Amino acid sequence: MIRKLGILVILASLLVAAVPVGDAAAQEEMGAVREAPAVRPAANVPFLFSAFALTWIVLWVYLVHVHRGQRRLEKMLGALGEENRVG
Amino acid sequence: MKERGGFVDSLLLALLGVVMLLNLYLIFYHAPVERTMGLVQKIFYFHVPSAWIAFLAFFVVFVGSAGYLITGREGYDRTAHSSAGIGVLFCSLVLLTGPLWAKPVWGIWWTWDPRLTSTLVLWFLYVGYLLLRSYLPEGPRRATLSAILGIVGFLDVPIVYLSIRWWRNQHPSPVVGGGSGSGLDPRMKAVFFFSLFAFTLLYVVLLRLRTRHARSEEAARSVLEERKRTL
Repeated sequence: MIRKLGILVILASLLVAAVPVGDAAAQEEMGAVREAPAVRPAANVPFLFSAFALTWIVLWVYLVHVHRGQRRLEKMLGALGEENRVG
Repeated sequence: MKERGGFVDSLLLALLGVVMLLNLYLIFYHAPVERTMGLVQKIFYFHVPSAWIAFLAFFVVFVGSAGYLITGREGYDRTAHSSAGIGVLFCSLVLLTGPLWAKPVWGIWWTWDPRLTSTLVLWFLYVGYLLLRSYLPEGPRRATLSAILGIVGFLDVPIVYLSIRWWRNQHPSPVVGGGSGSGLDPRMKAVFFFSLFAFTLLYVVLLRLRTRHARSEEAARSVLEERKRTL
């Protein structure tokens, strides 16, 4: 599991390195954000939805992964204890 | 003792469920929509708490690592390891939700500014911590080396936190405790602090779950080793 994560980390770092550095024009845009006109409240909802969905999916996957691992270990410990008693 | 722990876990889980639902309600129905950014600004209510939890988790790694180096007790090492995993999880969420907020507001997914870069470095440091633990055989050497990395890695946390005060950059200045000219609408502030509380509760639940899992793993390993010896 962790080794696979290691490979993912390497791939992610390559992907991040491929992202171009923000140019001066982009930096200027940031400076203008505070003075930007009011936007429609419904605009950019897909970004909000993606961020929320991603957060909950990541948290649920982690919870299920840890919970399943815990159940598997408890079952294994129970079986080993039973074997020791019989043996 | 185990029964009491189970009761506490159930109570915490029930409380967490209620608090998280209330948090979602407050974010979407109580907090006002920000004037310039619109609805996408609501990412703030879990992007910043995720960063706070990552910092808290790495602080626990720091304390656990120092505790292990001073006392040599395995419990500290176990807590540090459990907390590092949760810290990486929340740091990943910060790095995923940040670009989703940045793209509509800044027009770019990513830029190498001090806050973003130091956060990425923090993530790499603790992923390195987890990889180190997975590659080294279990024992005092692994615990000692991990503790050293856990302490050294924490040095990046104040750099991440203070980067927006030390250097002028793309990332916005702090809106809470940022001095004159900064601040939040009172309703936004209330929802933000409630979100911080909800995420802290989530961290406590996850840490309890993860440390119990680590204890079970150790118990299983010791039982298997004993069997090997007797066979």
